[in-house]
Amino acid sequence: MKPGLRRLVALAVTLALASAAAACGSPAPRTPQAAAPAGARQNRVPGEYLVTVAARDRVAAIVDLYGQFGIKELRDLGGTVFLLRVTEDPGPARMEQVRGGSAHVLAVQPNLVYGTRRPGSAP
Amino acid sequence: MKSLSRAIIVLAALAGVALALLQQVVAVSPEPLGGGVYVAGEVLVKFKPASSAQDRIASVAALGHVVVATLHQPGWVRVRIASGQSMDQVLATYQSDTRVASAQPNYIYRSAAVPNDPLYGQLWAFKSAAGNDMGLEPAWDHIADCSSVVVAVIDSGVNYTHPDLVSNMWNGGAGFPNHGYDYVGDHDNDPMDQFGHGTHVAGVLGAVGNNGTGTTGVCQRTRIMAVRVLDDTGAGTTVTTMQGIGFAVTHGARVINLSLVSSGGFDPALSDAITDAQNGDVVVIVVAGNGNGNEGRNIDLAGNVTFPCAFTQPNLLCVTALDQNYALAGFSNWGPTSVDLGAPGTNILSTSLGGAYDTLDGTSVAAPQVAGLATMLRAFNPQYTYADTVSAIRNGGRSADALAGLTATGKAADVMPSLAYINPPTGLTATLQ
Repeated sequence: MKPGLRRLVALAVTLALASAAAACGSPAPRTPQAAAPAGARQNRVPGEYLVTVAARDRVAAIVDLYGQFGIKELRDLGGTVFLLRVTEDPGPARMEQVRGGSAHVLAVQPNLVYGTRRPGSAP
Repeated sequence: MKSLSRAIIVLAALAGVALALLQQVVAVSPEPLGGGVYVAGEVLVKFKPASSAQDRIASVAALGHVVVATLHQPGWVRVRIASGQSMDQVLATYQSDTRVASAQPNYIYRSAAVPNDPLYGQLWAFKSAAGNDMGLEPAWDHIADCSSVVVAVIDSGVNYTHPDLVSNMWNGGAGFPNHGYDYVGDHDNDPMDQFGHGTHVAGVLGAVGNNGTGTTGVCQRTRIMAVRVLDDTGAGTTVTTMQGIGFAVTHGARVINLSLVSSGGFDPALSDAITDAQNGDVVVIVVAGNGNGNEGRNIDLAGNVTFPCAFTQPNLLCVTALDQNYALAGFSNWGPTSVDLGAPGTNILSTSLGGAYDTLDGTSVAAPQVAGLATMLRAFNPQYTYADTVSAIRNGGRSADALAGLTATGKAADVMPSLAYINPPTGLTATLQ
């Protein structure tokens, strides 16, 4: 990540964290994590999403959209993809709903779990 | 259509000729073993051209012997000698016969490429008495060294100090002195395996062969890039896996083995990573996965779909597991659309943590059999693209009754026909006059 962009991300995350802290005193209208279907939780990492932006300099749009869920981390994965970790997980459907028709945030998806399963092991 | 048919006939003929030539080379290349090892109770006798058939029979019968067969080479017959006679005595008798040009034992030949690894006899996937195997031995007469090709094991890491792997690890230079990268946790350049799965996979496709140690991989020599994306419980994520694929593509891997699955639904980010691999001309071998408990399932059905097997990129091959009878392994998932072919995947002996060896079952150990074959094909045919490699594996496979209707090809991986397969030239046209 270029230094300028890194500073931008750091600033954006700082602002988001500050925003989340300020919101702590108000009642939370959301039901974090529990809103996600139980089955889905087994297949994805709770609170983690991959977010694709239209251009690298549009990363602030991620904070604009998802800062309301409390941003713990926004990590550059290369290209225009970022790993977003939120404090309060609204679930993939709500994340997509919030994205709506954003021109700057092109896609959001859960960070799915991959692994191995030995034959004979429980589902 | 007529011109196309002619072209197909020509190509089929070329493929047949190529296979015949390869088999001929196999037949003549072995060296006789030292120490005069021969078939007990048999000699080969060459009679002079002037001798008649009756002369030959009389000569043999006079010694109490029997002509077992007349060989194609002029004058040569295969003779069974009487019990209790010494080979030296029999040969001396024949050589003193004025009707005989020469006589010799029927020496035993073995493939020069059969490795001397002490556990080789347990690798049924490579050679089995029943013939249910991938036919590695004749292929090794042509190519056992795949070290011109880098193959990435994207998994739980690799025990890169294992004595049977260490000399086959990718040289990552000063930047990657431990032969790869670790995307789990803090991200560093030490992909040491903490789970054992990746080490086993690595040994199947590329344990050092013919080194007098342990086992051998499909490739006896290769360059294994270790990319750790699964933690010490065997779990990873979209992020670690896509980063691992990115590392492998960027650093020169031509083949990737991905023995991991997710049932979390379509994964656009990982799909993009597979497409990046395609754009980088990299073949990706993935698994059908093991079913719940001991029961495989049809992963083409909604609700059962697993990724990356269900991705449709043309550089991807999805592998299911066969048992030692070449039946579909009971635990193995299948899919007439998404699963391409089968490979041995039960009781597979390979490298493990701590420098030892163990056996595993699963599609996880079937996939690296095919990844090894892909590596071999790309080493044997350096000009092969991912499309050529995938085509050779799919078309060179051997029909397996157990896979009919359960996989897209109905075939099991087969090394020699894949090596001999000639891909149709791109853009071929033919005109009949």
